[in-house]
Amino acid sequence: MRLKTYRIYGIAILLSFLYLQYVGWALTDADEVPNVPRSVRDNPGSYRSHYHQHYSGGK
Amino acid sequence: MKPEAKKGHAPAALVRAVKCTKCGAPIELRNVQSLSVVCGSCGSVLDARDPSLAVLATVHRQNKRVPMIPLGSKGRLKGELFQCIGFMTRKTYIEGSDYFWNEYLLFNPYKGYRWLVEYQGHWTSVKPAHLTPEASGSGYLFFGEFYKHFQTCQAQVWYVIGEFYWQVEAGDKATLEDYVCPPNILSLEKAPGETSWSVGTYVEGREVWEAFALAGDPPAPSGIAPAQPSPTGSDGAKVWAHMAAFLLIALLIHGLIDSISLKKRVYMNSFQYSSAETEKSKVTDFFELPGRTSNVIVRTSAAVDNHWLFNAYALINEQTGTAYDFGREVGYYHGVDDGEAWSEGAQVDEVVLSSVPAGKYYLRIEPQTDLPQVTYTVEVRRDEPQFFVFGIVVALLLLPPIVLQFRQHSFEVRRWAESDHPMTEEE
Repeated sequence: MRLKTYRIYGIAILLSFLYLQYVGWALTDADEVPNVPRSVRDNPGSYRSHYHQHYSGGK
Repeated sequence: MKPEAKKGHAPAALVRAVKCTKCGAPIELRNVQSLSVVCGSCGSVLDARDPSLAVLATVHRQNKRVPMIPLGSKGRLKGELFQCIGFMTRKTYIEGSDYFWNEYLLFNPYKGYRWLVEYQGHWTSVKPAHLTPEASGSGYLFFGEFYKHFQTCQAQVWYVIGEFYWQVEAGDKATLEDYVCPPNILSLEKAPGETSWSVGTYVEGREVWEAFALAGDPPAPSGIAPAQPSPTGSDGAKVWAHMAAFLLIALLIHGLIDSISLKKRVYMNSFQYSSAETEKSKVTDFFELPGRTSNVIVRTSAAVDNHWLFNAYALINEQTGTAYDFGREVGYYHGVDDGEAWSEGAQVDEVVLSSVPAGKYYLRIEPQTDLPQVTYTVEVRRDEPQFFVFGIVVALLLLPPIVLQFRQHSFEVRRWAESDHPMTEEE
């Protein structure tokens, strides 16, 4: 019974591994922001980054 | 002392109602092969083959026990029908304490005798071993299996009732040697001039209860019996073998993905930051993220020395307008404290973005720093398999066999703690 459970568990792990490696999964992820206007290229300062306000920086 | 029992040849047993020669209490004789019968009332041992039931021995009994399987009850154990004809409680004295166990003698005229031995709620079905086991090192070989010595003790009959194929009475003594190969146990019983081997198999109490249709529930087992099978089963070696096969497959998957991955630099450029600039945010040229949906690696390097640079990034898809926001810091500090040199951070930072679809992209970079001006370089790479994922898979595959091994070892330590050869946790 334990062997069967481990067999199923191992196969699930390997299939997940195959999928995650194929799609380039990583632990760190970015915040997805939809519909960014094309004007950002001409006026980079107009974009409000999620990270702009939060950083106080340094040691 | 239990002599070696012979296989029964008699036809179906007939019940014969008699009276105890000593006290007059009613006694039922169920087995024509019995040599003695012990009166449940006065404990006298009577000659079962003598029509007048001559008294063989009189016993002064201080204690009484009620058998959990009533004498005369029938049950089908492992598919074979048996009748309980005798019951005894035996004890041994070890390190200042008495230990008691119960033995039920079962009889089938075609199959012979069986014993059901109960100790602290653990049951073992025992039958005579008609072959003598072969001595081997610290144990015996029996039908190709090695039985390891578990315990040797002096046993004494403490209470007895019913019919037996030898003359038994309270106070009878014998030396018992137990050898285990779970779920089986070999027992050697020695008395002056006689030795007999028996072989037993661990049985769940529930199985005994169902076999004899006993009321209520069997007593809950306490501790671990010598022949009790490990709850982790015998799958340990097979699980390890599967783990090795899975690891090999995981390595092959990693190799396969590595071989089809692009591992391509798609963008690299240096930028100058100056606090004097009104607009510090910048955008890069367009670059193509080719191939399937995969990861993107953004590497930031800056010659900061006891200073920091923080870039708020947005990786923007030109076609869909979807942005991936993230922030990265490059900071490097070093110095000497109390004569000891120290350093912290690095002048390079790398981040892996998960599952970014293919397309035409650019980066919007918004730098912050505590320097008036600094040069930083941004490099973007595409589709590099991450070894840490393989590491996670290895850890996940290893975890169950390790837990299984640990539980199995703990169980064996507890089993052998009751033996003449206790294991230590380090073994």
